[in-house]
Amino acid sequence: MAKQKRDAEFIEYVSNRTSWLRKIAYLLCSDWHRADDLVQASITKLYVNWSRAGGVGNIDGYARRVLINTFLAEQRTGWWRRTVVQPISEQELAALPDLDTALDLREALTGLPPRQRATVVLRYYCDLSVEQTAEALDCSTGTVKSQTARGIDALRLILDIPSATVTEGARP
Amino acid sequence: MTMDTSGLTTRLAELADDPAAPNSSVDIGAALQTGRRRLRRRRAAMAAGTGALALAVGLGTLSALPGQTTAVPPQKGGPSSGSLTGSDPMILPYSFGWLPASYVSLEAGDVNSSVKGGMVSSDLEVMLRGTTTTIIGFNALGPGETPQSVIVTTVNGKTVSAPEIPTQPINGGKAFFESKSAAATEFNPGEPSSGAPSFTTLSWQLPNGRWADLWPTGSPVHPGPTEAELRRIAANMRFGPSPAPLPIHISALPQGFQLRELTMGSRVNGSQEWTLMATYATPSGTKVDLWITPVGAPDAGGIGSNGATVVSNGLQMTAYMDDSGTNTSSLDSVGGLKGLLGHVTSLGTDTDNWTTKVLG
Repeated sequence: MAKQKRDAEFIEYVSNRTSWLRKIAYLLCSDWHRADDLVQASITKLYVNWSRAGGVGNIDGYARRVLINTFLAEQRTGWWRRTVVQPISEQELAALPDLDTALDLREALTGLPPRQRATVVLRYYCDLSVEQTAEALDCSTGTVKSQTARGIDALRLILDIPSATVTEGARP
Repeated sequence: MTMDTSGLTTRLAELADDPAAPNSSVDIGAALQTGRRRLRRRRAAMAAGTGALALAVGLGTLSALPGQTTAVPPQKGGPSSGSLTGSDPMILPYSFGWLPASYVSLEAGDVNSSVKGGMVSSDLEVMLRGTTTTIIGFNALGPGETPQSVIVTTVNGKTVSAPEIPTQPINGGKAFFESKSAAATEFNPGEPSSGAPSFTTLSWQLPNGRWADLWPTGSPVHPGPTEAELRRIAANMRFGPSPAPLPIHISALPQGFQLRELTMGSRVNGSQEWTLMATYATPSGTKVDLWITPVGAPDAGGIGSNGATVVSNGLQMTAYMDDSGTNTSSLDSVGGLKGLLGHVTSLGTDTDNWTTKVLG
């Protein structure tokens, strides 16, 4: 009976939140099919730890954390190509194609190292505070601030946005 | 073009709301199925107690500098256990005597161990990967356990199990298939396809009376093995500890570092695109990853600012610190990441030269 209740609760939650998790996953990896793989792996882990998820009182936060951890862990396993972190030269910037705005942003996100990308997505898409982001990423608030600043700087550089128009300090 | 912080939020939302996004292939039923398996194995591991702990610790123990070798104790019992006898960190509890041509890569990985509040949990999956999305997993049930609800699907928010479809005995043991597509057809023939791949699981009884199953997952592009292929894989399964040859020899590691994760796999049949990844960590959380690939393989990737790399005997060997743990002073005793790589010997790309004596 407890197992049936557990399954019913899990199915109800996942049925309602898969779309939301999928969007976060897409922002993290920039590929819808891979986003599906990430969500699939994440909800499987969520099922295994469902009793723990219910205990924390914030299932959304728990599920989001599982997703982020799954994404970051995947960067280390080698099944997906590692992101090469290198500064972009002016020559390379000049050669960037003139894509539409959304594609620009997607490409720019892809250019960020995984933890910076996750930090930007959590702060600006999920609208988490520095403290909440630090908890989700299991790091210090100082790391969140520095990762956010670097991520925004990199986005600004890639998207050719004046520095004055994006400031991390404006967010709580 | 300008972008303030709210503008970035808006643009991220627009990107995520992409109207051209393909239909989701996320499969809640498959998550339930796999999740139940993991819970079952976790419970079995908990019941086995020392077996699970020995696996976790066995994978985690390496020789400490200078030249002090720690032997890994043999592991006892457990439905998914093998014998860890010392110098090979990758002991497969089962091996495959035959595989379809597209499945040659073997991954003994996804070992998730955690110790919290005195509780030890460990999941072990032995998987074969033909592509990044097609997997055949093998699972042996514990004594007295019988296959149940191997495949579930969701209909109107409720779970239903697939019917058992008997097939000819395998090596004298009872056998049956379960098909997800059969489940969907029987319980809700009018339900439109979600785009999720269908799959068939084979369960059969081993000579010792235990049940085992093979559970492939596929995709529309790579549909996975046929029923005949599954039967042939099952009939040729070999049981008992089987050390996996690896392409490196490691003489020693800095004091305090233990093996946290080890993955060996390749992407496609006949390809040189394999990757060996090992993560070592200290109790305080400092992590070092070793990443071994053939020179020129796509996964060779970059090393960033926290890494060092050595090319030797056709292999690219990279060591790097995890982003979150940049305390490189813990590697001073071996001369940093570069020095650490000095303790790793490349055995090249020819698998005939690989060794099961990896450590020490």
